Amino acid sequence: MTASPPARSPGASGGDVVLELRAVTTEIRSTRGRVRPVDGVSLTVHAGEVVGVVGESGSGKSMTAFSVLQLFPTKAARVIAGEVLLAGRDLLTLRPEALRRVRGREVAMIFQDAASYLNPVLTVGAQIEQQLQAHDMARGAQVRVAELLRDVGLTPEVAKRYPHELSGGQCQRVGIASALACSPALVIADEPTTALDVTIQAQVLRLLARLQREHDLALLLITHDLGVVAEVCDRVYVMYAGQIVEEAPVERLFAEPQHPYTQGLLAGVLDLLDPKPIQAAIKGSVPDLRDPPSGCRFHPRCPHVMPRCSSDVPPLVLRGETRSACWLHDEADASQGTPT
Amino acid sequence: MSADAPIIATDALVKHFPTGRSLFGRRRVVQAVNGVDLHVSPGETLALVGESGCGKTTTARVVLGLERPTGGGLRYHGTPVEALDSEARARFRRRVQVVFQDSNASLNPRKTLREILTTALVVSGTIPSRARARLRERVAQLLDDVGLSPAASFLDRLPHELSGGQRQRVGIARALAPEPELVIADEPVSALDISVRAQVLELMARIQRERGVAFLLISHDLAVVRHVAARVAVMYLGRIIEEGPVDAVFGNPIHPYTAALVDATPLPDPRPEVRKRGHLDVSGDVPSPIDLPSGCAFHPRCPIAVAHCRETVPLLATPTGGADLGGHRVACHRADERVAGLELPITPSAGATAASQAPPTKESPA
Repeated sequence: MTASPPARSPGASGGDVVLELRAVTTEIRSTRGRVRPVDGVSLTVHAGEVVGVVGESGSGKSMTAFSVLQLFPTKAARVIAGEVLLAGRDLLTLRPEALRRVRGREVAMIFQDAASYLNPVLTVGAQIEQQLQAHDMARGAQVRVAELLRDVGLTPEVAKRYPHELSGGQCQRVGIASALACSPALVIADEPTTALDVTIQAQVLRLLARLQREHDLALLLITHDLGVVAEVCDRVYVMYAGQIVEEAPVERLFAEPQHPYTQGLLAGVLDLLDPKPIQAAIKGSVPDLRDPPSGCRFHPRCPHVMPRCSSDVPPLVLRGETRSACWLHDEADASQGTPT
Repeated sequence: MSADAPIIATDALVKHFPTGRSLFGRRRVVQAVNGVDLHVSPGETLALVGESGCGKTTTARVVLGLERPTGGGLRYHGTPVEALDSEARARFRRRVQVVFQDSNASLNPRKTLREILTTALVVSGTIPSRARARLRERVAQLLDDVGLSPAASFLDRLPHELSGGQRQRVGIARALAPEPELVIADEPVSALDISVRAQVLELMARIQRERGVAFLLISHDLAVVRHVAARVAVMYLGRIIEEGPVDAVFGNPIHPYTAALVDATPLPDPRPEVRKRGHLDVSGDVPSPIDLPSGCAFHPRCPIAVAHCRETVPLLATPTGGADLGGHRVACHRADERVAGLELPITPSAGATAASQAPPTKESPA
């Protein structure tokens, strides 16, 4: 499979497809049973595009991110189906050493808690140098480290510091510098600002946006925060219970959310500059993925549930610029006489 | 005790924590709370906002009596808490309750919801333990009140058998058990997902409406505060730097730190026309509360700081020269200028020109 199909919703930049996930399913096996936190997820990221994956805890958004490089927080997790195409090459078929060369070099990750994934006994500079050496870019490493640190708004002297001597915001900047070290084409950021205070979050988001522009990066941003999505993303996937329920350009998503889950999420978002009465549009809580609901996984919480929703799985259907997986649209289209 | 006095009021509350000694044996302290005056009146919601380490949780713990203040005082209905007789002290303990952020850690994992709530009712002296029937009825009522219904299906569950949102409802039910007049809620929805957060906030709003309970809400989330509180106090490094009605404070922030917080809060709206903001970019990190900056603690990060700010601590006061500000108070040497509508340069690079307008000496920002 080398030919990539035409992108169904072109990215803001209209660039080439950098990453494509096709029906990826990831399973975690434990003594308590099998769970599929990612269940048939397909998504694309184009060159120079910022793509958001948004969802609540347990939606599978982070596991989707981990599935790309098969870096999981638990050994029990494994991608069991689908394809992860990086510039047309399926990462799932690579041998471990080949995959290791992709990690950090072609695809880099930024994690939520920078302070805990930096090595506490190595200076910041040594860690970034290690990364360069691992990818045979050791020549001129010190100069490169200084350049990278300056690029993320730190002074080159930070290279001599240990992670515990830095603040949370500075650690995250180091994490970003280290992600950029080998000039990857794609950066995956998993909740990069969630652990930070709001003024620091704003600094880091602005930094990410600037670097993305300057380096023409493709950025896959995993977040639960719709404010962050609105701030930096071009296109958004909404995940619920391991599946994508909606995909849209960011402005369309906020202006006309199609899926009842997205609508409920947006109704629950509080806007600092536009106070309104709080309404809990979605009742209940996320389902247990050991035993996901039949049909549409959102149906037990959906305000518009129909008999069909509990038996048939709705496919993602493109309408306008938005794709969403909901039987309501079928009904609406049928009543208007428009073909789906 | 007077009837119209605030439920609780703090006077120049100070809380320092010793953290060992420096190299030459000088004792070092974390100045967590550094002179906080606040009050909560019956039925109102006051929010205390700020970033991590600003002292908001420590303030709440002192108000709850979980920490003894290093200085200053706490009054309950106008009477200093030290002067409360045992009966009044018991009433204070019963009528001021708390909801914690982490319902996982604050509920006993081995007790069923029935036991948790029964204990809350008995220990607070609300219902004696021998009144079995009344206890049963009240526990079921409490579960119902917080939306855990039918109560019968929840009574015998353990906390781990609940979702995060349901556990937080139990935390609220426990706080409501002794019929409090004030509930201190420390980041009650920070650990919750959006859809569940909306449910819990809706519940808190309903409780306030129906029972007239006052809330002291501790939060780092300005959007949550704007939606549930009437009044807000913004803390920075142990002091309140701006206080007033939420609409005034967030709609027209006077202190540059508040303005930066408002500006930094992500807006859930991608349209470019709404996204144009002042971009009051505050650089750097919050300094250590061990070595507080001199004068105004915010001056090293402040884009409009002048020399005076390094020398003198600004007091919380109503800015003069403006219209009626409705109780909006600010601790900033340049508040009057900002209120008077002076177009103060608010970018760091413009700090040098700002310095030249203000007394007493010129300086160039580092």
